[in-house]
Formats: sequence, structure tokens, C-alpha cells
Amino acid sequence: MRRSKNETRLDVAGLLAHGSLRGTTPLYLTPASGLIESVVLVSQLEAIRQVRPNTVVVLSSEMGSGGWLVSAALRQAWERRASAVIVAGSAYASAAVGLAERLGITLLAADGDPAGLALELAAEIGAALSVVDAELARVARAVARDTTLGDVLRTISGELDGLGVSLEYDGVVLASAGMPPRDTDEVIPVEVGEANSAVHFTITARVPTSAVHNLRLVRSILEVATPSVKAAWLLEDLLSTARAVPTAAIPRLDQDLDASGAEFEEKHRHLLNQLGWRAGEPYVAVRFRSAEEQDHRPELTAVLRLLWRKVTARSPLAEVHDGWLTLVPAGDQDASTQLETRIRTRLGPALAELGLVAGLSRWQEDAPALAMIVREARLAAESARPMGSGTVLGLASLGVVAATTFVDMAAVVDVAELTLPRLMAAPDRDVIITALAAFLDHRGSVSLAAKSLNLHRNTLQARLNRARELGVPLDIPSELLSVHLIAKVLRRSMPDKTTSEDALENQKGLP
Amino acid sequence: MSTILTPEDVRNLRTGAHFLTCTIDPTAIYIYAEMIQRAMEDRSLELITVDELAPDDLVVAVGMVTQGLFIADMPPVGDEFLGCIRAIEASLGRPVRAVYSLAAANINGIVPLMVGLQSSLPVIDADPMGRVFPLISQTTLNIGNVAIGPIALMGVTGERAVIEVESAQRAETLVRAIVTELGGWAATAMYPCSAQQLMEHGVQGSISRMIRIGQILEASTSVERKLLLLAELLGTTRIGRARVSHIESLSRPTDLGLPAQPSSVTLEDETTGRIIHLEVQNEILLVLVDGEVAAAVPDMVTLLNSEQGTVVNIDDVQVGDVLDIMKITAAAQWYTEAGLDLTEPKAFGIPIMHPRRRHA
Repeated sequence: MRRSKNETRLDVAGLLAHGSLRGTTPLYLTPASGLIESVVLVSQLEAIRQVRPNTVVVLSSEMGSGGWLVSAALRQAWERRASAVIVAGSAYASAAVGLAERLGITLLAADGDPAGLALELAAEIGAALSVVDAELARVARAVARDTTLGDVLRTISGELDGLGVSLEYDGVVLASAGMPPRDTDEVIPVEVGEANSAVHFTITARVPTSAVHNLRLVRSILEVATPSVKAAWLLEDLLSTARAVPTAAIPRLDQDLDASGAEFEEKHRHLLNQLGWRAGEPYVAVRFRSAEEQDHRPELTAVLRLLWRKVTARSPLAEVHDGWLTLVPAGDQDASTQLETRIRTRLGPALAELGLVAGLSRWQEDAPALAMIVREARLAAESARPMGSGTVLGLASLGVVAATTFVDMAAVVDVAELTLPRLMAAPDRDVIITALAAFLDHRGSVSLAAKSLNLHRNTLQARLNRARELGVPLDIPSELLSVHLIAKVLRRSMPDKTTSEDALENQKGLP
Repeated sequence: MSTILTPEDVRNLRTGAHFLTCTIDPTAIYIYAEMIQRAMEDRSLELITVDELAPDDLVVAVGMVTQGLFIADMPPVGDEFLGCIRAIEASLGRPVRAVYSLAAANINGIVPLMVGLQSSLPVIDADPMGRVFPLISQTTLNIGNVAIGPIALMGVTGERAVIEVESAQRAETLVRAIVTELGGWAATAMYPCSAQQLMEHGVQGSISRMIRIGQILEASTSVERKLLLLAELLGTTRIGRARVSHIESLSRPTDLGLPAQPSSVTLEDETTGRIIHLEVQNEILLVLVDGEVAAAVPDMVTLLNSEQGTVVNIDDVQVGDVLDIMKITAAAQWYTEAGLDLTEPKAFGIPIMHPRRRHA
């Protein structure tokens, strides 16, 4: 773009020195030479209110040349950020020149007919615009040669002197090139995607306010590059879909929930080999899904694929039933931990924005069957869901607590209402339930439970006795798990909870 | 409510009439004020409100129409207005019950008092302009479709004409032509109408307002206090206090029928650096502050001496003077579509839109 800028940017100083403004007398020149993008010949003052910025306003000779007229024209031209005002040549009061200086707008006097000057200037602007068109065609050819999205963005950024250029979806940056964004940048967005597409991307350039870029030209360059961006993105998506076939196949094969990993491998050995999976290689499965229960949006596949490249480019992302799946090779535990950290830091905010969660399988040295780790990842993603959008959860950190994710809270409350009506109706219900939960949390130790609640053990004992009176079967071992579960669920609905260490209490969005 | 005017009222009226138009030559106002004050020594002058008349009483506007000649250069004999009123009565076959001013400023703001003294007719506290305009068609009665004719004119030589005319625009042309022939000015009586019509379409309270303005300006108080009182009375705003930096004449062509030479005055506000531009043609038509319209006809603009608070004549303005530029909002009728059509800057050959129209 550096080459073109000199050729296409017309400015007042340039045209005064060797262009159509040569024949004018400068009455006042602004210190910084104004950019010229168009010219209007006005015969009515009101017409100046319609001009675009960077326009040269030429007052036709029939308008007269009174001081008031020049003053009013200067004012209106200044309000429209015009580049200059040209008036028919004659003697001018110092007041008009003073006003031009005060407003900071260039004022020129035409020696000949202003209309002729306007025509000459229009021709000059037209010639400059045709250079712009040639330049845009060159940019279009340059980006058309690129086949990957990254290359296309880098080429666009290069044409714009390294400006930050990014592909965005709903405010989430999917890919970018050039200078990192700053808050003060002027943002120029251009829509990518056809009318019937559900997903609307924007390609965005960020122009620092200090830079001397012609914003209209920047936009034009983005516009001519749009088809190449779209083509590169569609091509990449197509290739990714093809590469993701083996991954997409695995959950489809895993229909028999009773079969063990070894049985699965045995049954599908031939097919797995054909798909390129080798037995004994350790992988970590990553599963993405929507944080809402019934909200799978297949149109996000392309978005997620672009985001996924920030974590790893090698493992393809497959769209599977109600979510997305990928299998990442992980040689050791460290690689697995790193993967989880990368997903959390690089994708976490974007996942939150898109309303998604991620779940990871455990790393195991003996490389369990793919079907197993796929199931683990699905379980982890399912467990992450109640914790809200953006959650990234590994099954390793969850363990058996995952089981509580699948408890129907509303049903448990119903059970409590029906089987323990006296407890539920008791005025001191909350105190008793807290005591029960603490007692069971501490494996039936009254001392430890009392300590955890900052109570005297006699007080706790009294509350437990009260629970027994209200019908809680505290002394029947086979019913203790259910009592514990009910206590945990009921505690969730209490206004003031003293502990928050269990997984149930972290859950959001449940009845 | 009927009021008997005192010589003191006349003096204040004179000052008010001068204030409301930053006139080029106030000599005639002063001459008339003096004559009226002398005549009042043995006669009383009654100012009435229009509702004191019967609704169908005939009333008529009286005023001077000039065409290039200052009245002071060739003073009237004295019977001109009485002649005009008699001609209207003869033409319509009914007696005139009261007179009102053709304009609420300048000489025509004060002339009806003299006519009232001479004819013993009461003077109505109303007018059809609420200020002064150069054209006889620029009236609120015209907006209200009240006929301008018949018009009676009488010049200094005693010649008299009665024009039977419907259209105010056509009347303008005819009256201007006859006034030139009559010697440069003529006493006129026009817009004969019923008290009811004047009540509906005229501007009320114009004479008493001028008296009140005079009381404020003549009082021996500070300039700031005077400005404050004027703001309360008229909704006056001060556009700026600025020093005259440049005066030029003939900054644009004038239309036929619009008297007086156009000129413009540039001032600089020394505290803020704002550049203020006044376009003048008989009166101040347009005020630009840094090129933006701050006031435009039908707004009234007047200049005050920043030290004494006295009205400054445009002709006396000199480079270096520090002036207060005051804007007074005109009668509400003038800001309607029809009102602006008649009086906005375009009507005076300045192709600029009144800000009120732009925001409407």
C-alpha cells in the first residue's frame, strides 16, 4: 500500500504545487495539508450541508462574494470537515481570512471562473480514483493467490502496512494477523458470509488513530479481499471436515455401552486400522458442547474449528451428536495437563462468549480404548455444563463426584417432601439439615462435625436427635446414602450456606 | 384599558422606537417626539386597547412610506395624515374610529401619536408588525389575509392618491412608484379593517412595550441592570460584546423595492476571539458568529453602547467601537411558515435559511 498511497492521496498542498489548484491564491492555508477526495460546485449555501468530509467546496460565481457569504460557507464547510473552500477571486475582508484561520479551514481564491476550476479538480480526482481502482485490483489478485486463511489475513495486513486484521464471529477473534489491537484503534468491520448463511463473520481492520490511513481505502481493500477470505475459510473447513471423519466415526461405533474397551477394540480392529487409529497410542479426548441442555448449534462448527487451531492445528475437530469431539495425541501426563491449560487459557473466554463448555478425558499410561476416552470426555463435558459457559473440566480432577452431576435435583426434593414431611415442615429445618450434612460429611463423627460447624458436640447431638424425631432414618446404614443426598440437595436451597466444598453446590442453572 | 399619555411617555416611546430598530437615522423620531410633546400641552392623547372598541369599528394603520428621502430633509406640512384618513372614510363611506401604527418601531412607531392628537382619534396599542419591516406587505395582517386596500397617500405637495388594491405584493409596487412621484415620502393610511380583525391578526401591546423599553433605557441604572430588565421584558439575549474591526458597503446586490444601501460590519469578540458579522440593509438582517447564523430576520437585532447602554445608530458605528449586539425575538406570527416566507433573509436577497425553519 505504501507505493499506492503516494499515487492516490490528493491533498491541498500537492494540488497547489503542481495540480489544478495552481491557479488559486491561498488566502489561508491550514498547517496540515487537507486530504482531497471529492469536489462540489455549490450555488446555494444550503448545499454545503450535504457534502462529505474531505471535499473541496467551490462557491460558484453567481453566489456573489460578500463577506457574510464566505463566513457562512466557511462555517458550514468546517462543520462538514471539508478540505477547503474556494471563492471567486476578488478582494477579501481580513475578517473572512480571520475566520478561516479561526476555524482551521483552507480558504482559496480562484483567479478565473470557479466552475472551470471545479471541473479541472473533478478530473484530477477521477484520475486518482482510477489509480485506486487499479490498486484494489492488484490487492484482489494478491489475496486470491493465498489458499489458507492465515495467509490471506497476513497478505491483507501487509497491504495495509501491517495494520491489525482479524476474522471475528460475534466479537470473538477467530484468526488475526498484523499489529495487536489497542483500545484507541478505529475499527473498520466488513461482513463476510452470504445472506442465507446462519453465521455472519466480519473481517475487521484496526487503524490506530495516529496513523494517516485513508479509512475509505482501508474499507475498500477489506471488501475486495472478502471473497478470498471466504474461499480460504470454506476450503479449510472442507479439508477439516474430511480430516475429521475418523474422529467422527468413533462415537458412532460406540453403541454397545456394556462392551469393555478391549471388546470394542477387538470388534472394530479392522475399521479402526482403516481409519488410521493405532492400538496402544495414548490420546486425550476433548469434547465441546453447549452449556444449555438442548442447544446444539451445528453452524458453530466452522467457528470452533478456527478457534481450535489456537490450541493445536494437527488434531481435527469433528462435529458429533450434540457437540464436537477431537482426539489429541498425548505422550505423557504433562502433555495432557498442558493441553487442558491451553484450552482453558486460549479458548476459555471465547467458549464463554459462544455459550460452550469443554470436557477432557483422563490420561492413562496403558492407552485405553478410544471409545473409553471418548465416553470420559463426554462425561466431563456433561459435568462442566452446570458450571456455566466457558468451563473447561478434566475428568481427572472430577473423579466419582461426576456422578452427582447426573442427579435430578428436583426429583430428590420431591422425594424429601413425600417421605420426610415432618422434617420439611419443621421450623428449624435448615439448622437440622446443616447438622445432618456435616455429620454425614465427617463419616458419622459428631466431634469432627461439631468442630466444622463451630458448635459444641452436645448441641450437634441434640440436633441429630431432633432429626431422628422428625423421621430421618439416621440409624439405618442402607438408607444413609439417600439421607446424605437429600441433605446435600436441600442445603443448596438454603439462604446461608457455611461450606461450599462439594460439587453439587457449584452447580448452576439447576432447578 | 384606556390610558392618557404624558410627555414623559412620549419621550420613553421615542427611545423604545429607536431601540427596536437599530435605525440608520433617528432624527425624524426625535423631531416627531418633540412636536408631539408640544402639542400635548393643550390636548390629551388617549391610548386604548383594541378590545375597548366595538368589534366592527373601522380602524386604520397610519405611517410614513419613504423612498430615498429622509423626512427631515423635507418636513411635512402637517395635514397629510388627516387627509389620508378623510380619503379612507370617503372611499369606504364609514367613519374611522381609531388609528394604529403601521410598525412598532422607528418613526412609524411614533407617528400615530401625532395623528391621534391632530384628529382626536384614540390610538390603539397594537400594530401589524410587532417591529419594523421595510415592506408594507410584511405584516401579520397580510398573513391573516386582511386586505391592505384601499390605501390613501398624501405627499408634501398636498397631492393625494387612493389606491384600490387587493394584493399586498401588488400594493407594494404601486405605492413605491407613487411615493417616488410624490417627492420621496408620503403619509399613508392602509389596512383599514375592523377592530375584530386587528384583535385577531395584529400584534398587541406594541406602543406600551416601546414606552416600557424607554423607561428601562432612560433610567439612571447600570448597563448590566438595563440589559437584565430588557431580557425580562423582551426575552432579549446578548449575542456578544465585540469591537468593530471592519466596515464595508455593497457586499451583495439589492432587489428593486428594497430601500437603502446594503453594508456589512465585522466585529471581534476580544475575550473569546469569535468573529461576528452583521449584514445591514436599513436594519441588521443577519448576524453570523464564526460563520454560524446567530440571528436573522424576523429576529430583531439592535446595537447598544457597551458603556452607556444607549442605542447606537448603524451610521455612527466606527472601527474600534465596542458594542453589545442584542437579539430580540419577534412576534410569534413571524416564525410560522407563512411568516418566514414573508420575512426570512431570502426575502431580503440573502439566500440563507432562518435557523427556525431548518429545525422545524
